[in-house]
Amino acid sequence: MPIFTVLTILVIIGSLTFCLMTLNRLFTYNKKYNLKAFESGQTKLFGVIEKEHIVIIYVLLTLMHLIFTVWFIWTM
Amino acid sequence: MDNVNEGNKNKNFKGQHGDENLMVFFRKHWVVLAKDFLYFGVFVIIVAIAILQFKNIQNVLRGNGEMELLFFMGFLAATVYFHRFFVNFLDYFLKIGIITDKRVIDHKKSLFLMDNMDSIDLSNIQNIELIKEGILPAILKYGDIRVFMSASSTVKTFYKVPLAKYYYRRLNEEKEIRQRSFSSNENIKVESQDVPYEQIDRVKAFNVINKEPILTKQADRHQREKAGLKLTSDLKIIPEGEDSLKQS
Repeated sequence: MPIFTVLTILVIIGSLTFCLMTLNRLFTYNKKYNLKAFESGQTKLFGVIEKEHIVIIYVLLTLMHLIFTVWFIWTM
Repeated sequence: MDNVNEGNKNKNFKGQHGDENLMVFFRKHWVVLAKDFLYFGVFVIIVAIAILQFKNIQNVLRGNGEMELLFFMGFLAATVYFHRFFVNFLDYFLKIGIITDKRVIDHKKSLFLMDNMDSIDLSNIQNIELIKEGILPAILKYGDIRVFMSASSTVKTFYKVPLAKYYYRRLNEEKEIRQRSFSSNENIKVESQDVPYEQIDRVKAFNVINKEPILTKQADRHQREKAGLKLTSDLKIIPEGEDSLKQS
């Protein structure tokens, strides 16, 4: 397997691992900080966006990053 | 009225006391993320162009070691930037200011690297300032809240607070309640010598000369009743503009 492919796969694995670490830290934070009842339009980003929405976008984009990279290597 | 409830320990946030109630909390205004959004927008455009040009890029890279290395460096930098952006974005939600019925807390936290907590007892606050200077704060309605302590010259500033006027008012209310409950609990009468600045604000219509209270024309009914004063000939009325320290 060419070295470029190996390095790219390593980056993808590192990316997924980091994403999972981030999610784990967030879940730990959510267990200790229960501020949901005090959230309002003033505390949300632009009045609507919460932390959970950003997590969903982050996970989706990480998966897209994985899929596009695998497709790129596969078709090269 | 104190809410004695030991069950509140760590209920809403780590470090919450058993008898402490969370009132409100706030995050920074979205303007702190504006620069990051701009850079990420440029990044997304570049990535979109790269995805659309996949075939051309693959043709260039095929069999060319140097170009593969260059592409890999760019790919690595893009991946690191992507994760860094979202970690910063999530850190925005973790950095909060908390107002309870006893303290105001500046909680600076990040997912991986930082966890700082700075709390100030409301009874130690002498003065609170709201600072809103510039076009952006006026249009976007954010400002800085500066808290001055009574025992020292320490100043604590909360930067870029959204709807700063609301949190400024809220903090003032909680501070008043806390300081009132402190003085009633300890049977300490709040005299003008003890809390000079607040007393001047609250009882600004009164001047004491030779220990006799004197009313100005602007004194309101509540303050008069509180001072136990009656409008009798014993009271000296001073018209506007006259030096209140002069004997009539």
